[in-house]
Amino acid sequence: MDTVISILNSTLRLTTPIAYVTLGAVVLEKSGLNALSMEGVMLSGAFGAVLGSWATGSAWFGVLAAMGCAILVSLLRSYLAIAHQANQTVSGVGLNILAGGATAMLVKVIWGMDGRSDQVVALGDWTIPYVADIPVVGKLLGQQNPLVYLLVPIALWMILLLNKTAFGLRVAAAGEHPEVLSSLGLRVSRYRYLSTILSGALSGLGGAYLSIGQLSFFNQDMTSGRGFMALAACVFGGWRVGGALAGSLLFGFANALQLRLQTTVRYTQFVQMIPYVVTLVVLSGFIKRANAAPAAGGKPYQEQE
Amino acid sequence: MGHMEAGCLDAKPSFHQAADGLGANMGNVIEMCGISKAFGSTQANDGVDFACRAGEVLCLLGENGAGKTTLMKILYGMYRPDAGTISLDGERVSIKSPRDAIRRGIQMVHQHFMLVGPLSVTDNVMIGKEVKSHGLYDRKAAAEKVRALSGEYGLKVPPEKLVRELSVGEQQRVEIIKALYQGARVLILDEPTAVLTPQEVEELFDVINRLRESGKSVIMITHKLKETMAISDRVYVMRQGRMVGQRKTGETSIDELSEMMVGHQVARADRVDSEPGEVILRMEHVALKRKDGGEPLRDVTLEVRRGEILGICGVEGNGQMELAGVLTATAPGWRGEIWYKGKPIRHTPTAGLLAGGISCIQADRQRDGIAMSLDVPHNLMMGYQQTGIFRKHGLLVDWKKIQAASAGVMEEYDVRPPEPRRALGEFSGGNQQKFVVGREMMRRPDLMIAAHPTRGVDIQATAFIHGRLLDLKAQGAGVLLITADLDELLQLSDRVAVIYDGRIVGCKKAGEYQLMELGRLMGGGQSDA
Ligand SMILES: Nc1ncnc2c1ncn2[C@@H]1O[C@H](COP(=O)(O)OP(=O)(O)O)[C@@H](O)[C@H]1O
Ligand SMILES: [Mg+2]
Repeated sequence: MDTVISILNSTLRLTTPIAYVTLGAVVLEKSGLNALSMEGVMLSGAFGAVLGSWATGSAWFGVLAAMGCAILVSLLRSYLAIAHQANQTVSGVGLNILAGGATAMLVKVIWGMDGRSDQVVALGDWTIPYVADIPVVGKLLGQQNPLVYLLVPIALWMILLLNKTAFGLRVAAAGEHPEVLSSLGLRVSRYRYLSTILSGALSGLGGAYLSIGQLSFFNQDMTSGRGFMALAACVFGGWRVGGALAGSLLFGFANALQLRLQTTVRYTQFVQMIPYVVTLVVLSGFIKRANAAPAAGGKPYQEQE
Repeated sequence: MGHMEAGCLDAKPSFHQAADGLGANMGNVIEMCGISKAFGSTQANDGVDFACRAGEVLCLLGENGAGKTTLMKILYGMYRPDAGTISLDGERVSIKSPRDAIRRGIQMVHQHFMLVGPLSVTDNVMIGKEVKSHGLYDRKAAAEKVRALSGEYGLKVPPEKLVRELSVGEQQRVEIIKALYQGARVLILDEPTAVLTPQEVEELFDVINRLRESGKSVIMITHKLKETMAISDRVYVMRQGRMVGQRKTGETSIDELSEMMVGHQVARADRVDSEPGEVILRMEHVALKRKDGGEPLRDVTLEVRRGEILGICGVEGNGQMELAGVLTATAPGWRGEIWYKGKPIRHTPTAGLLAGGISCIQADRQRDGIAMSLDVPHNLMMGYQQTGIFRKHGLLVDWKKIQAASAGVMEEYDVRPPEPRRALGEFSGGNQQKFVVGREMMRRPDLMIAAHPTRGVDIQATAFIHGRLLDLKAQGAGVLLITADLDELLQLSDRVAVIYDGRIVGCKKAGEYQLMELGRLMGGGQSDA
């Protein structure tokens, strides 16, 4: 029983950062920009969180700084893709490399250490009264990081935003057939930039959870492929919020399993591969998807003047 | 080329007086005066005047590339004119974007539909002007609005269905509903009939009549003369960027309009009766089952002789496309017997059929006929890769030869602009089609399968393609002509077979059919005989 609870518990903790970034990937991809840059954006978020918390002494300012950093970095990439029709695969991968290098360098500049920042104030857990006292459920949901709890309202809000608002409709059109928006006199770039900002903010939350939620410092390349797992989860979920969250749960579980097995198996390297193998399987299309990618996704679009 | 003294019909006043230029026509909803627009070195519009009244159905007639779409896109705010003025209700306006045009009640249904496939009909209609309640988009109320509009104008579409699941005709109705919902007083339709079956054209015309009755103006871009005569009140004719004139539909004729459009008389290619030779293709009880259980071909028995054109007519979706698929070995798994030049072709692959002298003008040229993103030489080579004619040393591609052949085809088939470096996607549909016809003729086929050979092609090019098909027949090849255009069918075919629900339901000499009888057979009814 305890084993199950502990696996579930770590699943929840490991799912949360991927889930935020997955939501970011969904909205970005829906608007017609590919989400290959999530890794770099998430890493910038993780870095921003530590920087913010270190500078102000408040973990919540750290969270804001995480969102700010991630938004800026996302906007840089989207600007290249939208205003200059840059190849999105190249600019996405380039951004990941840039973020990896820049954060490592800044760590060295600011804290004078290789690859690791100072300890900063971390986000404290929230305890939910009464729930914490319920036997099994309490252990799981009674005491968790605030960002774990926040995931639920944010996910619901995202479902509403993408499916039940004019904005969501237009984002979908921007990703499927941008000429439709142009022919109605709406600006495609507006919806792509707004989606970028939203996506950056969400990925920033995911990054913040990694650095000041689970830990209290920044570590070089600490996202270790989670941004790509988020992209895989988005594909797995057919570009829908619900499905994508299920996808991130799959990766969270794979990670939890991997951690658990590490303590019992001899060749841990193979066990550590599990989440990445799942990523590969999902991205290479072994799993049949009902939903196809947004038709105009990743393609440069030149707006008429 | 910005300033043009010449080119305007009536002496063009300066821009300041332009609004009075058509002053006699009070009650014009739209007046466009002296509109010019150049794309690079192409003068797409050259001092064009145009006016439209309320409750009027106008046809804007012209060959491909005459500048019709450009003129209307200027009105719709998608292009800014280099010169000229636009007035709405007698008032000078500047239309900077489609948003401006929409606000003023002008709507355009584009040649390539502006619809989002994975979204529902309702969503597509609503984009840009969503019905809201409590700040959220209210799909239910929106669907009601769509239903109301669809009822009012007789535009039948299911509001909940995804657009990608609709037929082309239904998609067009969605576009019209969308235009009406966005508040159209003036509706521009760009070549709306190019993609429709004859029945759908009838339905569209009913809708246009209702729009006219409700006081809306409809501007229909077309190059089809019969349709122009059938639906319009007035006709504008454009040629090479200029407005050559306007006529009241009741006071003109097809011949006059055709001459205005082309600039001279068009010689029609007509069938020459000849004695057909040996049988080149024989199909017996051919049937085809798809994996999903559909049975597009049930029982096809026919033969094509050398020196004859066999026309296949039928409402789209009754097996014509699969028939072409079977004969090019692209629809595997058929049953029955097929002999080509006396030999069974059950196991012959496509390359073998091509090498054996079968050419095919595909119905869906952009999907099956060409690669849109490749240039002319690459496209020219397609279907000839496995033959030796474009190789040197038996292995390498002989680009010199291909380039020469490309230039030859473009010249002979008048593919414009004559720039082989361009990707096929940059040519207009008519020019793509001419290219495909040229490429397939280059094989000097013994059997030509021509599916909709003149779809989307203008009058001159149509006459030209018809001429080539007749030449082919005269040279002793057999032609299987699949078309939805009854005029074309009866003009070219020696014999006509009617296909309905995957069966050949009638086959006799073209002259022996009554038009009504053909229509009945196509609809699944009985023959007269
Ligand atoms: N966006 C564009 N860029 C360059 N050339 C164009 C563009 N649109 C139209 N043209 C050219 O302008 C001419 C008129 O085109 P168009 O208005 O589409 O003709 P139509 O609709 O009568 O067939 C053609 O020669 C076409 O190649
Ligand atoms: Mg046109």
